[in-house]
Amino acid sequence: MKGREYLGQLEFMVLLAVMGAAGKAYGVSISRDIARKAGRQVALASVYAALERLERKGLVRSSLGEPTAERGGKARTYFAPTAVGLREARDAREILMRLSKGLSFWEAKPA
Amino acid sequence: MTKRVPPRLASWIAAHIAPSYRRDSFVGDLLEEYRQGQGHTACWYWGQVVVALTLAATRFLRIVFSLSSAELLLRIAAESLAVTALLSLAYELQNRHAYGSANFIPALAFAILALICSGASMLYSPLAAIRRGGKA
Repeated sequence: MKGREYLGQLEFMVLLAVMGAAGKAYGVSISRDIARKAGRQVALASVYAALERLERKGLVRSSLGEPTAERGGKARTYFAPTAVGLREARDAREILMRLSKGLSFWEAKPA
Repeated sequence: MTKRVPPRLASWIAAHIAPSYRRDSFVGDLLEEYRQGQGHTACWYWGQVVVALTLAATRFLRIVFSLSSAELLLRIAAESLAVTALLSLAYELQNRHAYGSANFIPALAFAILALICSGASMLYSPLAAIRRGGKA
Protein backbone atom coordinates (compact mmCIF):
# COMPACT_ATOMS: atom_id res chain seq x y z
CA MET A 1 0.00 0.00 0.00
CA LYS A 2 1.21 3.44 -0.84
CA GLY A 3 2.12 5.54 2.20
CA ARG A 4 0.74 8.95 2.92
CA GLU A 5 2.51 11.73 1.04
CA TYR A 6 3.23 14.77 3.17
CA LEU A 7 3.23 18.37 2.04
CA GLY A 8 6.52 20.06 1.22
CA GLN A 9 7.03 23.67 2.28
CA LEU A 10 6.45 25.13 -1.18
CA GLU A 11 3.45 22.86 -1.70
CA PHE A 12 1.99 24.07 1.60
CA MET A 13 2.51 27.73 0.64
CA VAL A 14 0.96 27.15 -2.79
CA LEU A 15 -1.99 25.29 -1.25
CA LEU A 16 -2.59 28.17 1.18
CA ALA A 17 -2.46 30.67 -1.69
CA VAL A 18 -4.98 28.55 -3.63
CA MET A 19 -7.24 28.40 -0.57
CA GLY A 20 -7.14 32.17 -0.21
CA ALA A 21 -8.20 32.93 -3.77
CA ALA A 22 -11.71 31.44 -3.69
CA GLY A 23 -11.37 29.33 -6.84
CA LYS A 24 -9.70 32.10 -8.85
CA ALA A 25 -6.10 31.14 -8.17
CA TYR A 26 -3.80 30.76 -11.16
CA GLY A 27 -0.02 30.73 -11.65
CA VAL A 28 0.58 34.49 -11.56
CA SER A 29 -1.79 35.19 -8.66
CA ILE A 30 -0.25 32.39 -6.58
CA SER A 31 3.28 33.59 -7.30
CA ARG A 32 2.35 37.20 -6.38
CA ASP A 33 0.54 36.09 -3.22
CA ILE A 34 3.56 34.17 -1.98
CA ALA A 35 5.85 37.10 -2.81
CA ARG A 36 3.59 39.58 -0.98
CA LYS A 37 2.77 37.53 2.11
CA ALA A 38 5.85 35.34 2.53
CA GLY A 39 8.41 37.69 0.98
CA ARG A 40 9.69 34.97 -1.33
CA GLN A 41 10.13 35.22 -5.07
CA VAL A 42 9.09 31.87 -6.50
CA ALA A 43 9.59 31.14 -10.20
CA LEU A 44 6.40 30.41 -12.11
CA ALA A 45 7.75 27.04 -13.21
CA SER A 46 8.27 26.07 -9.57
CA VAL A 47 4.71 27.13 -8.76
CA TYR A 48 3.44 24.91 -11.59
CA ALA A 49 5.61 22.01 -10.43
CA ALA A 50 4.09 22.32 -6.94
CA LEU A 51 0.59 22.57 -8.43
CA GLU A 52 1.18 19.42 -10.45
CA ARG A 53 2.19 17.51 -7.31
CA LEU A 54 -0.81 18.89 -5.41
CA GLU A 55 -3.19 17.90 -8.19
CA ARG A 56 -1.65 14.42 -8.41
CA LYS A 57 -2.19 14.01 -4.66
CA GLY A 58 -5.80 15.10 -5.10
CA LEU A 59 -5.40 18.23 -2.98
CA VAL A 60 -6.37 20.74 -5.69
CA ARG A 61 -8.47 20.55 -8.84
CA SER A 62 -8.05 22.65 -11.95
CA SER A 63 -10.26 24.14 -14.62
CA LEU A 64 -9.44 25.98 -17.82
CA GLY A 65 -10.51 29.62 -18.36
CA GLU A 66 -10.92 31.55 -21.57
CA PRO A 67 -7.90 32.43 -23.73
CA THR A 68 -7.09 36.16 -23.92
CA ALA A 69 -5.02 38.24 -26.35
CA GLU A 70 -3.05 39.75 -23.45
CA ARG A 71 -1.72 36.29 -22.72
CA GLY A 72 -0.87 35.46 -26.33
CA GLY A 73 -4.09 33.51 -26.78
CA LYS A 74 -3.34 31.18 -23.88
CA ALA A 75 -6.01 30.36 -21.31
CA ARG A 76 -5.53 30.56 -17.57
CA THR A 77 -5.77 27.40 -15.52
CA TYR A 78 -7.66 28.09 -12.31
CA PHE A 79 -7.07 26.04 -9.19
CA ALA A 80 -9.33 25.34 -6.24
CA PRO A 81 -8.71 23.20 -3.14
CA THR A 82 -10.50 19.89 -2.77
CA ALA A 83 -12.03 18.68 0.50
CA VAL A 84 -8.97 16.47 0.98
CA GLY A 85 -6.73 19.48 0.32
CA LEU A 86 -8.50 21.57 2.96
CA ARG A 87 -8.21 18.77 5.50
CA GLU A 88 -4.54 18.24 4.65
CA ALA A 89 -3.78 21.97 5.06
CA ARG A 90 -5.55 22.03 8.43
CA ASP A 91 -3.62 18.96 9.58
CA ALA A 92 -0.28 20.40 8.43
CA ARG A 93 -1.00 23.68 10.25
CA GLU A 94 -1.96 21.90 13.47
CA ILE A 95 1.14 19.72 13.35
CA LEU A 96 3.38 22.75 12.91
CA MET A 97 1.67 24.59 15.76
CA ARG A 98 1.90 21.58 18.09
CA LEU A 99 5.58 21.09 17.26
CA SER A 100 6.48 24.74 17.75
CA LYS A 101 4.41 25.23 20.92
CA GLY A 102 6.42 25.60 24.11
CA LEU A 103 9.81 25.88 22.45
CA SER A 104 11.99 28.25 24.42
CA PHE A 105 13.51 29.37 21.14
CA TRP A 106 10.54 31.70 20.49
CA GLU A 107 11.05 33.57 23.74
CA ALA A 108 14.75 34.18 23.08
CA LYS A 109 15.46 37.60 21.63
CA PRO A 110 17.32 37.66 18.30
CA ALA A 111 20.97 38.63 18.60
CA MET B 1 0.58 51.60 -26.16
CA THR B 2 2.67 48.83 -27.67
CA LYS B 3 2.77 45.45 -26.01
CA ARG B 4 6.12 44.29 -24.71
CA VAL B 5 7.47 41.37 -26.69
CA PRO B 6 9.52 38.83 -24.73
CA PRO B 7 12.78 37.36 -26.12
CA ARG B 8 11.83 35.16 -29.05
CA LEU B 9 14.19 32.26 -28.34
CA ALA B 10 13.18 32.15 -24.67
CA SER B 11 9.53 32.09 -25.70
CA TRP B 12 10.17 29.22 -28.09
CA ILE B 13 11.96 27.25 -25.39
CA ALA B 14 9.14 27.88 -22.91
CA ALA B 15 6.52 26.80 -25.45
CA HIS B 16 8.32 23.62 -26.50
CA ILE B 17 10.64 22.39 -23.75
CA ALA B 18 9.05 23.53 -20.46
CA PRO B 19 7.41 20.77 -18.36
CA SER B 20 4.32 19.51 -20.14
CA TYR B 21 1.96 20.00 -17.19
CA ARG B 22 -0.37 22.91 -18.13
CA ARG B 23 2.33 24.23 -20.45
CA ASP B 24 0.02 26.58 -22.38
CA SER B 25 -1.19 28.22 -19.18
CA PHE B 26 2.39 28.49 -17.94
CA VAL B 27 3.44 30.26 -21.16
CA GLY B 28 0.42 32.58 -20.90
CA ASP B 29 1.21 33.35 -17.25
CA LEU B 30 4.81 34.09 -18.16
CA LEU B 31 3.69 36.55 -20.85
CA GLU B 32 1.09 38.17 -18.59
CA GLU B 33 3.57 38.67 -15.77
CA TYR B 34 6.24 39.96 -18.17
CA ARG B 35 3.84 42.57 -19.54
CA GLN B 36 2.17 43.58 -16.27
CA GLY B 37 4.82 42.95 -13.63
CA GLN B 38 6.98 45.83 -12.48
CA GLY B 39 10.64 45.72 -13.42
CA HIS B 40 10.36 42.49 -15.33
CA THR B 41 13.10 42.68 -17.93
CA ALA B 42 14.21 40.28 -20.64
CA CYS B 43 16.70 38.97 -18.09
CA TRP B 44 13.84 38.14 -15.70
CA TYR B 45 12.05 36.33 -18.54
CA TRP B 46 15.16 34.31 -19.36
CA GLY B 47 15.57 33.45 -15.67
CA GLN B 48 12.03 32.07 -15.54
CA VAL B 49 12.64 30.01 -18.68
CA VAL B 50 15.92 28.64 -17.32
CA VAL B 51 14.13 27.47 -14.16
CA ALA B 52 11.48 25.76 -16.33
CA LEU B 53 14.19 24.17 -18.45
CA THR B 54 16.04 22.92 -15.37
CA LEU B 55 12.85 21.37 -13.98
CA ALA B 56 12.14 19.67 -17.33
CA ALA B 57 15.71 18.34 -17.57
CA THR B 58 15.63 17.08 -13.97
CA ARG B 59 12.38 15.26 -14.62
CA PHE B 60 13.70 13.71 -17.83
CA LEU B 61 16.91 12.52 -16.15
CA ARG B 62 14.94 11.09 -13.23
CA ILE B 63 12.85 9.08 -15.69
CA VAL B 64 15.85 7.91 -17.71
CA PHE B 65 17.75 6.80 -14.62
CA SER B 66 14.76 4.96 -13.20
CA LEU B 67 15.55 1.90 -15.33
CA SER B 68 14.54 -1.47 -13.96
CA SER B 69 17.13 -4.25 -14.15
CA ALA B 70 15.28 -5.92 -17.06
CA GLU B 71 15.30 -2.65 -19.00
CA LEU B 72 18.98 -2.20 -18.20
CA LEU B 73 19.84 -5.71 -19.50
CA LEU B 74 17.81 -5.06 -22.65
CA ARG B 75 19.66 -1.80 -23.12
CA ILE B 76 23.11 -3.39 -22.70
CA ALA B 77 22.19 -6.21 -25.12
CA ALA B 78 20.95 -3.76 -27.74
CA GLU B 79 24.01 -1.54 -27.41
CA SER B 80 26.35 -4.58 -27.70
CA LEU B 81 24.47 -5.74 -30.77
CA ALA B 82 24.79 -2.31 -32.36
CA VAL B 83 28.53 -2.12 -31.71
CA THR B 84 29.08 -5.65 -33.09
CA ALA B 85 27.07 -4.85 -36.19
CA LEU B 86 28.94 -1.62 -36.86
CA LEU B 87 32.30 -3.39 -36.38
CA SER B 88 31.34 -6.14 -38.80
CA LEU B 89 30.19 -3.54 -41.34
CA ALA B 90 33.47 -1.67 -40.92
CA TYR B 91 35.35 -4.95 -41.40
CA GLU B 92 33.47 -5.61 -44.63
CA LEU B 93 34.29 -2.14 -45.94
CA GLN B 94 37.91 -2.38 -44.82
CA ASN B 95 38.38 -5.60 -46.74
CA ARG B 96 37.08 -3.88 -49.88
CA HIS B 97 34.32 -6.28 -50.63
CA ALA B 98 32.19 -4.99 -53.43
CA TYR B 99 28.96 -3.35 -52.30
CA GLY B 100 27.03 -6.14 -53.90
CA SER B 101 29.04 -8.93 -52.33
CA ALA B 102 27.41 -11.70 -50.38
CA ASN B 103 28.74 -10.45 -47.02
CA PHE B 104 28.12 -6.74 -47.38
CA ILE B 105 24.32 -6.79 -47.69
CA PRO B 106 23.73 -8.96 -44.59
CA ALA B 107 26.25 -6.89 -42.61
CA LEU B 108 24.50 -3.67 -43.64
CA ALA B 109 21.07 -5.11 -42.78
CA PHE B 110 22.41 -6.36 -39.46
CA ALA B 111 23.84 -2.93 -38.65
CA ILE B 112 20.58 -1.15 -39.51
CA LEU B 113 18.54 -3.63 -37.48
CA ALA B 114 20.88 -3.29 -34.52
CA LEU B 115 20.73 0.49 -34.64
CA ILE B 116 16.93 0.34 -34.70
CA CYS B 117 16.97 -2.03 -31.70
CA SER B 118 19.39 0.25 -29.89
CA GLY B 119 17.25 3.31 -30.55
CA ALA B 120 14.10 1.47 -29.53
CA SER B 121 15.68 0.33 -26.28
CA MET B 122 16.73 3.90 -25.51
CA LEU B 123 13.20 5.10 -26.13
CA TYR B 124 11.53 2.20 -24.38
CA SER B 125 12.67 2.95 -20.86
CA PRO B 126 11.57 6.61 -20.71
CA LEU B 127 8.29 5.73 -22.44
CA ALA B 128 7.69 2.84 -20.06
CA ALA B 129 8.41 5.13 -17.12
CA ILE B 130 6.05 7.76 -18.48
CA ARG B 131 3.34 5.11 -18.88
CA ARG B 132 3.89 4.16 -15.24
CA GLY B 133 3.18 7.78 -14.32
CA GLY B 134 6.70 9.18 -14.42
CA LYS B 135 7.73 7.51 -11.19
CA ALA B 136 10.76 5.39 -10.47
